[in-house]
Amino acid sequence: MTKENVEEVKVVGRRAHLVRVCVVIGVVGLILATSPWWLVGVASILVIDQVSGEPVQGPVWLVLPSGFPKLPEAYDQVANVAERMRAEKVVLIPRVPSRVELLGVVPLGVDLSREELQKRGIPSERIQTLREESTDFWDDVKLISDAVGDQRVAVVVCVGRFESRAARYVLWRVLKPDVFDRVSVAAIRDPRYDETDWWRSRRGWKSLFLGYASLLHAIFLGDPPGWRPMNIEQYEDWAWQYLLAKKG
Amino acid sequence: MATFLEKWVVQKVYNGRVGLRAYKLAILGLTIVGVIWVLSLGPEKWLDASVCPVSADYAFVLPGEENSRPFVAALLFRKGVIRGVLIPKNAPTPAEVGKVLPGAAEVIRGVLLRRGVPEDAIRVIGSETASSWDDLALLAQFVRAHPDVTVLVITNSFHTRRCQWILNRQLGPESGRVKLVAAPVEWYDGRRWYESREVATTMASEYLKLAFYWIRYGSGLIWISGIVLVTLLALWLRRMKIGKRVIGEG
Repeated sequence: MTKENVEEVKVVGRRAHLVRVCVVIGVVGLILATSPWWLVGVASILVIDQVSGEPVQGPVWLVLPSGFPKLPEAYDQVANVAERMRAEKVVLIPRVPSRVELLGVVPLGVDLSREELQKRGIPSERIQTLREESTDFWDDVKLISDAVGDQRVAVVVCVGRFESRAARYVLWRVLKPDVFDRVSVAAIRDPRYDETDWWRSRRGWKSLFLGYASLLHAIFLGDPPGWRPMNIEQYEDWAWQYLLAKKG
Repeated sequence: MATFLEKWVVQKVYNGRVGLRAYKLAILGLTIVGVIWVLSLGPEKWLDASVCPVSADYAFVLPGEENSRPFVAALLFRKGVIRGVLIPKNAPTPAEVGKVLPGAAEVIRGVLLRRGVPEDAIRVIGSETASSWDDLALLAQFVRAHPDVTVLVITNSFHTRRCQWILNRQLGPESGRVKLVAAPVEWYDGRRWYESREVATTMASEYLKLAFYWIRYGSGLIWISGIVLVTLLALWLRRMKIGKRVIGEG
């Protein structure tokens, strides 16, 4: 074989290789673009719903963490779960009030939740608001741990669907093993998206991103440093100093 | 320069002084050091394009973070920096439709009224905006319709870079009449961004949104630059592969 022939064979081989690569990329791209199974899979990793089966034996408490999504459909689902699990009570965890809440522009989260649950048939005496305020989900879990104490109750924590895996992880990290065994997570669906169609809405993308961020942050960095919002006067003084400092 | 470097690397590899694996490891190490260096500089600094507030006709309060933005607008009004406040009307959220929570415009208006801004100084404009792009398009329309008006856009520091970019795209030379003012938030400590989930995700999502905006709303130049970059990278990789093959055959 001459040197030219060797070169020709090499060029033909390279072309064939390029064609093969293009065909593989095309086929894989077509499959990925037309069937959403892999997109569903990406989101399903974040979802853990432990209340779809039969109701558990014994008393059940339903817990709404301080960051529970304030959506009408979310409260519908909580009311359904409460009925299905025959919940003895629904426990609301208050968040440290924000400035708009302090001003009375929006109601306090716990007041709003109480009102929405009552509208859906849960009697007031079955709704309990914890006295201590929380700053984040890690705080919520510590408060759940204190509230449950030695009582032999099953606890169902209601959280946003894409945050359920992270929530389960935080529960595992914070609670004692005997308490953790009695706790389950209810993944509450957002009416705008779930794992089967999250890529169709901007909100779905954002939620997926936050779900993964929460999970990874919880795994690698653990309990984050807490912060409490300033009151209105403190905030305005601080903001004014901040704006003046921009001059320099 | 790149060709010289490649020749040098190929020669060293050919002579057996440096293994190809060592070369790859060096590139990887340099990349890691570069990333750490950029992160240590503070990725939040570049996002902040805000200025010290100057006297203006209106403040335009962007929806979101209602615990900070409207409070700063009210503060600026009371200090006499602005004469009125504009609020864009967002599309209703499910919570608003279900009458669970008031809409963002209503919350902003409520804060302004309770913090000393009179009703006649507040204007809700537009209808059903759904993104920063829409909100600022509304403002651009307002600014073009009122040629003598100056405006301060009130948002948070991490959002100002994207807003500035949108304003430049929407208003062009007229964007000089609009300045960005940052409302601080106590949970956002950019220097310790990795410690808090909120700060880390806010920063990461802001960079992602910026990239999305460049592609979605940017000029053709962005696309051309991207294609040129990818082509150059592919060519460089190909040349490296050929170099490696030559050494192998040698």
